[in-house]
Amino acid sequence: MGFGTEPSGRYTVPAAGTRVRDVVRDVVAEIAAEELPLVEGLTRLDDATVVRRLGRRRQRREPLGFGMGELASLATPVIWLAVNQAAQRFGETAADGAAKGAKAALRRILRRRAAPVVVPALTQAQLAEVHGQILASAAQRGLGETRALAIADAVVARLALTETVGPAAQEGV
Amino acid sequence: MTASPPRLRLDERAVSAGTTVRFALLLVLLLVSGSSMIISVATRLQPSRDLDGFGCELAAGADPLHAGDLATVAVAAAQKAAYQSCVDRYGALPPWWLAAAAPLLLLTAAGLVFALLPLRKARRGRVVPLAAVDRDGGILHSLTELSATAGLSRPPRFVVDPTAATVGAVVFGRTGRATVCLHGGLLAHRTTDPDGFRAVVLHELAHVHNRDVSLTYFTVALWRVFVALALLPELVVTLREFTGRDTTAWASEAPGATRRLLLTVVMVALVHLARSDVLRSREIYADLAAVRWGAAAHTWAVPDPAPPTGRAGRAWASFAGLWRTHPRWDLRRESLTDPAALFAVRALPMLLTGAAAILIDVQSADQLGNYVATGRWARQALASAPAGLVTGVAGIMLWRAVVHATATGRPAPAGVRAGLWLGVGMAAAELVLDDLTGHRWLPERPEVMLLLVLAGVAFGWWVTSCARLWTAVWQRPTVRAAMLLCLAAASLAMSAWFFWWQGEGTALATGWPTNPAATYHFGNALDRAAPTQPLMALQTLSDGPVALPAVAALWGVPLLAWAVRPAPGQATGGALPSLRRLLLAAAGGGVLGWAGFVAVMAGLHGGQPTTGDAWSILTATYFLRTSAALVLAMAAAAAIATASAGRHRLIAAIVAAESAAFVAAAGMFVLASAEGCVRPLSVVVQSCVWRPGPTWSEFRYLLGPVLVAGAGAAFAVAAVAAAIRRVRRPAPRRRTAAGRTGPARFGVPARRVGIGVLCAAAAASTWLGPSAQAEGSPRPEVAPDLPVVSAETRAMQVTAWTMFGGADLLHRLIVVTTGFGTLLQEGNGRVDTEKVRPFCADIAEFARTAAAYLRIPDPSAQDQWQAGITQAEQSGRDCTASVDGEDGKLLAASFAELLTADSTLNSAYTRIVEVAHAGGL
Repeated sequence: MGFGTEPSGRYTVPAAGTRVRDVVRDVVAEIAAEELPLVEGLTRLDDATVVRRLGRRRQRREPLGFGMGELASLATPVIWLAVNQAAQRFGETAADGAAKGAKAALRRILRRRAAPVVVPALTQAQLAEVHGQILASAAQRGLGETRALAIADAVVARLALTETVGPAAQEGV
Repeated sequence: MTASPPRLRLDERAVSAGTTVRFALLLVLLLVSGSSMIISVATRLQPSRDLDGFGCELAAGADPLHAGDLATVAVAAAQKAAYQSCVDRYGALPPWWLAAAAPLLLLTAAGLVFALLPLRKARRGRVVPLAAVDRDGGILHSLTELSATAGLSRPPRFVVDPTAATVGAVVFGRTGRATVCLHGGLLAHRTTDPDGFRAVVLHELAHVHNRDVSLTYFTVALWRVFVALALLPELVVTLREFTGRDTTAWASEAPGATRRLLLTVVMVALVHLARSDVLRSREIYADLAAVRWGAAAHTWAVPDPAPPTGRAGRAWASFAGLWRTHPRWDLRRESLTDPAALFAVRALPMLLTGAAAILIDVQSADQLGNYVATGRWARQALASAPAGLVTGVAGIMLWRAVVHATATGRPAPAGVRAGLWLGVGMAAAELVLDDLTGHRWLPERPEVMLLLVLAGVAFGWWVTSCARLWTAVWQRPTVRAAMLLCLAAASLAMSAWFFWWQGEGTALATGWPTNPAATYHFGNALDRAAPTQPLMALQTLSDGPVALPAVAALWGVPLLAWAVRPAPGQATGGALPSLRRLLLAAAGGGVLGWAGFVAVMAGLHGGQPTTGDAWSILTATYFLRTSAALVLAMAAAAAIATASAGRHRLIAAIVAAESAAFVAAAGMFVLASAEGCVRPLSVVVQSCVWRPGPTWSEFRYLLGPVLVAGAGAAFAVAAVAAAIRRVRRPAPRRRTAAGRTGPARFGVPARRVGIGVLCAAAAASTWLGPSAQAEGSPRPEVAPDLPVVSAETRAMQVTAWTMFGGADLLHRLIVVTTGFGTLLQEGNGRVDTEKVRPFCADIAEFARTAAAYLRIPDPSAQDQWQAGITQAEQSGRDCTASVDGEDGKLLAASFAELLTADSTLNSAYTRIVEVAHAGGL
């Protein structure tokens, strides 16, 4: 597994770790291939937008909209949010929240896209935490136990393949 | 156990949906109400030059802070020209361009928002192009196929919102250039549930096909603009009035301010509820179209949330459902097999339509009435807009219900309950507007508002009756032509009704008497005579420019149904009540009318008076009783006709009553023309002379109001007949919808000739026109006595009089007197006549202006003021005569008179100051 590249080719490939979107794409391709078009669409947006909007509990009710209700078996939001959360918690940028917020605001004003979020290599304990997190999140979103387990296993397996880099990832427990 | 028979289903497209006109009603309401609020805010933000609207009322001698509206209006109306001149000069009437600019501003801003909405929804970072997720073009291929299935020559643009996890989609933009946004969940679902994908896309394409997109989003745009530019400023200014109020005037201002606040709440609720209601029905239309194009109906098997238990829970769920833009899933599923919900007449849309109609009617009249719409026809044109809209919305709903009931064999609605809600909506809307109440919480005569409810009931009942009549005989595939004919007649009637309500109805509700002379003890003996008031009230019924055409349409249009050629095997007019019976009823009523007229003449015979006033009173009594005889004859004909008309009793009653009027009038005309020839019946004519000319002018005066009143009597008779039938419900036996129909005695040609004659009579009646009095010269203004008020109020009145014109007049007098005196002094015995002449004109002009202005609200000061004016008039006349005759002595006399006038008028002013001081000012 290597680093993914964007169609636009505008992203900088990080020196270490794996981009969240690449983890998501790989996992979805493995366990929910029918959702790949959705992932393709999500990768056109920056991570902050994706996380903000996937994290919304309720969809806006539009006039002239038509929906059959929330799709119970959608794996992509669960995977993306969980991997992103792992990146935020265990990644090296976790500490400088205020500076990050200011930069994000500036980027939004200048309409510049942020660099994709990268998830570092995780320890066994961290991977176990991510596994538990996915099971809880999947249950909350109405996914069945078997499906939730399959997703969690696939994510953890994919994250375990990420190269180990520097002490930051090691100390992030 | 027996299986229930399959329910017949009517295609939802069989009758016009009427949702476009419902959108139009909303747009017009937002535009009119928004403009009204903008103008109101702009006016209230200006520094008040008229003591918050009370200045001219006080100056005229009214007591707006304590007395009722009626007393205030009466005092102001007694000096109408002078009061109007004060309001024109000092009142807070906004400039004309503001009235024109406000709707333009709203429309332009709404157009801008409408154009920007799709850009915002489709901006980068929110959606991605379809191509980004559709590498192999498979999705686009499916979508193109579905667009062709939906009959769209040009497929809409497709984008994707990958963050939306729902299996759904939404369409936005405008109908010609729509954008369909597919949700991420839908794309993920496409391969596992192709039926669901197809159903969702077809549903969205149905919105494009049904032309819902532009209307929906323009309504959204106009609503947002309305909130930003009109509603919020109005709310802020109104709340400021609550906080920074002046305690002296607050008691009078509180009702108006509260109503303005209430109006903002009502507007929010009304627009939301009405828009959600229309959108819910558009959703069902889109569902039906999608299924017709091949969408799998099982896709709609989405469970609703569990229904709440308990009465309160159910009531809340039902209330919350009114605000949703999408119907419940169980209703959507049910509508796929039986779209009865689309044909139902529900209370809420009727209530909202009635309220919207009155809000549009009153606010547009207020907005434009001050600038352009002052004539009768202009006012009538303004009333036509809400009338057309309310008929379009409510009328189409009722027609759809009748057509659906007829086609599926279900019981047709009577229209009374729907009309009741319509009327309640109209009455409720009047309570949040100022036009009936002024400075009070409720109108002086709140019971008059029942007329609004009755008008709604009459509308609902007549439209439903007309629809039932025409659907019974209509043979063509669609009922469009018959529906348009009926609705045109109903619209004309509503238009006449709004005109009457705006003029006479609101005046009646505010407590304004039909005959002010009788109430305020002025005018001549005829004004105060007992028959004058009802006669004048009767006359107002046909004053509107379209009142008589409306009555003619109300019975002429249904009458045409009897002329429709029957289906093969069906007797002529077989589904309708017998036309022969209706004509016999009309003849019977007409003969009763003759008898009644004979009784009137015999009753008044022998009372020939000698004085002019008594003569006039006799004539008024004669007219009133003759009118009553005619209306009773019409009511009798209506009663006879309803007996055999079954469910068509209302139409039968109106047709028989109006036809009877012509039969009765013809006989009465002959009797009246030969009045003097039958001695026991002579009333005003003693000699036997055939006098058709004068008789016609009398009948022309009477017939118009009688035809309107007789139509009302027919409604009342039919209502009583319906009530009796409900009470004495017969044993259940199958009857045709028309009651006793029986074989027709007349063939189609004979029937058509008869109907042609009656329709010609109906058409001719529209030329009776308004009475001479309605077009005649205005009555002279006669002042009622000044109301007794406290010293404080009197002080405020005389101060207001000084502030609003009085001081200016005194100043003008000082300028003229000083200038004239200086000229004479400097001339030292020799004065150029050409230099004097302008002063003469100024003095005369001053006297004219002062005489035309408001009287001082203090009898003593007014006496002096009037004496001063008379002296100034004399001075002006003498001045002009002295110049013309080059008479120096007369010139000196005229100046002396001017000084006297000046002194007298200043005495009046001194008295004003005394009154003001006595009142603490």
